[in-house]
Amino acid sequence: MSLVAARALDRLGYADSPLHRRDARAKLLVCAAFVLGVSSFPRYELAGLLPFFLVPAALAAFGRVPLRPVLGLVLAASPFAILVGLANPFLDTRVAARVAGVAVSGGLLSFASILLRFALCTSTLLLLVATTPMPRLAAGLRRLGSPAALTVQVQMLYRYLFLLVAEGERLSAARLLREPGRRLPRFATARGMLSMLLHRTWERGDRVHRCMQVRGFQGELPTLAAARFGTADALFLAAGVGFCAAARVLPLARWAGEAFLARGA
Amino acid sequence: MHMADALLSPAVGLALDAGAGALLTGAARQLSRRPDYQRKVPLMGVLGAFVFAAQMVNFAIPGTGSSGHLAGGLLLSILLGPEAGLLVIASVLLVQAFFFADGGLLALGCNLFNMGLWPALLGLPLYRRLAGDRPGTLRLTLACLVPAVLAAELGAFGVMVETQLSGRADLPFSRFAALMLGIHLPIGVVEGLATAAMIRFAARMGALRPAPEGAAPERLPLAPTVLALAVFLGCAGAWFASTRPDGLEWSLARAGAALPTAPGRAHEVLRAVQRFTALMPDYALPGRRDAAAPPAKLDTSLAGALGLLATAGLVAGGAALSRRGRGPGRSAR
Repeated sequence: MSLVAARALDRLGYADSPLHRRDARAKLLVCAAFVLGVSSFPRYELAGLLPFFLVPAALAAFGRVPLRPVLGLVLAASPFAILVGLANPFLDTRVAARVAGVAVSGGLLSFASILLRFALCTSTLLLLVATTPMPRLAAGLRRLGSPAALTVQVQMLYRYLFLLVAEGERLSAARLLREPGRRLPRFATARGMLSMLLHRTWERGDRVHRCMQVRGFQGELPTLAAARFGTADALFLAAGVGFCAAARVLPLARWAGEAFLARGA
Repeated sequence: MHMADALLSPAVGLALDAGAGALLTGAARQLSRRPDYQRKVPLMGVLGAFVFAAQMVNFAIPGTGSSGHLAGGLLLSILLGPEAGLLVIASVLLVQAFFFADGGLLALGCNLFNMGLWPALLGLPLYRRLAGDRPGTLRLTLACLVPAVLAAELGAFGVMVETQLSGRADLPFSRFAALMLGIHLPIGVVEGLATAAMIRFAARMGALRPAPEGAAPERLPLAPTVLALAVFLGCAGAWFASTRPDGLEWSLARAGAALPTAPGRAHEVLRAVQRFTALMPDYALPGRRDAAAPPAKLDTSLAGALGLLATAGLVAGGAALSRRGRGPGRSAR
């Protein structure tokens, strides 16, 4: 499931939209400000987190990203955060708030807060990736100061990721055809499969190395794309960081509620 | 177990991010100066992708009914050396965070500490020491098993420290420790066995080539590693100081030791570290509320055992680092 979704995400990065055209650096920095804003709220916060949902919603809308692969990945990744947070309602039973006369324990509040944070942070990061192709993401990381060896490595890894995963899938299919009654292979079988995979991987590495030598590899992957940090990028960055700061400091949710009530009155 | 952004406070996340960043920059600089760097680039790329493919091959663990797979940290370090291994794990974590929603932006540093640092820093020297020059099957298996289990348990310990210090989740220390360390024991064993099988195969394949003549021994760069360890130690210390002062004093009192009435200097320093790292208005840790009650025996002993484990890990890592430059490197394996 998550592999299919990741492939879909990769293809989405090459689409075109106002958000796709923004510089990867601006998007990475907005994402960082967003994560910092969300994670700096105290543990029982719920209302303060709600305005932050505008950010992924805006990213999805301006980037014209279909929600299905993003939601699929968020759900597939959720078990650990849920598992760790799940104990909160049982351990922290102090009544922290009353909602319409029903007592709500502090643990329930903090668990809900963890769930909200998780949904916010993962969906925003995935939307960043869904609107930025990997080469430009790596170039953005490079320009933000991460070492060349790391960004080259990320790009090489990414280049061969889906190829080798397909290799692994073929091995699994071949194994399943030979012992259809067994859901999981025995360790000895898996050892053979992994050895074969390692062998093929290693040979591929040697071949790639020879090809790169022939083409004059100098230690860094060159890019032709002109990375210009334009006015639109600066505006996007300012708007994104500004909104995150405002949502962190100001009680936007309460104001929205009061405005709604005032209109109704 | 990938740490998620949702479970972290910015102070903990940023501190570990900074440590991990320094470590990665140092390792990258040292690696790109190596004569065989350009040969390693494509190999690092495909081996990083291999980790993803290998995780698709789930196998049955006899007698348990559950399944396991190769995580690959130790294998990468042994095949590529510590600096390249660390960089490959970092890139794997980056791609997992960006494309698979495993981990997160703020949690990248934590995850590198939990899953990348221990195999490269501790696992590799330990493996080389245990395996020797031409290990037989049994010795090789043992030489992979010990560092793999140690790295898995230290990683689990890291997850606990980060979670508890961030104060977002409420798990009580003893139950959390029993759960995490218990789960990671079989994970480490499976990892060790699978790594041993892969190393045996790689040796037959001729993949474990000796480093080129005259090259510097393969070790993580000293200064960034010390910095990173200091950050980790600071987190662990702040956590111990914030959650368990009473527990430690209580166990000391039980042991008949006289308690100084005024907190010691180290205590003050760690308190200061905690004040610095716990910037949040709501930084009360789960253990603090019932700090007045004497903690359960299990709690204290587990804390002690964990502290011992962490200290042993740090000392061994320091010793491995301090050996650098003395004689020719043992990187021939």
